[in-house]
Amino acid sequence: LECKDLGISIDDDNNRRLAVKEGDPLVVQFVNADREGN
Amino acid sequence: RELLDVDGNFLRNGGSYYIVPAFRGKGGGLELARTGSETCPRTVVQAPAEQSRGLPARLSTPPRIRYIGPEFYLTIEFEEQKPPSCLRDSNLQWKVEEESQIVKIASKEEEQLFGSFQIKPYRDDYKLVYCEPQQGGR
Repeated sequence: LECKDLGISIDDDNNRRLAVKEGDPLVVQFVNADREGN
Repeated sequence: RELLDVDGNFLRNGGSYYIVPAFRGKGGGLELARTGSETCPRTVVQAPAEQSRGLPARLSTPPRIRYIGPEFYLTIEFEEQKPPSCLRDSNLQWKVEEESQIVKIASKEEEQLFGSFQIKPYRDDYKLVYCEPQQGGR
């Protein structure tokens, strides 16, 4: 199975879209949403 | 290497998390927006506001395990308390649109039982990857 990085692709309206972008990943962290009762 | 949240706790299978950028200055967490000719917000984007965490996303994998590791294929779906009416019947599950390679919300017909995403350790943080389903499925 071939896996590729997800990074940011900016469109004409300046939307920072999540997209397949091999070699240029969005570096992320995870914040637990359950702890806030969401 | 284990997958941890910002508090140092293991990422739970079925747990809900805000996915936020590790580096500040280019926007907030991941959420939904209407882009291009969409009439409904179906595109996964980084929130324009730096202080926004975006939408909580549920991370789940079919194996009956408590914690998620980098080797597991995940289904990722947003949990929106008040989704717009055009998305009320959708599970807000992520997919990658084949042609554009953009991450969007799957239609009811496109929802998958098995996930196509993984979380991989990257430098001191993490990255998301999309694993292309092979012909004939997994």
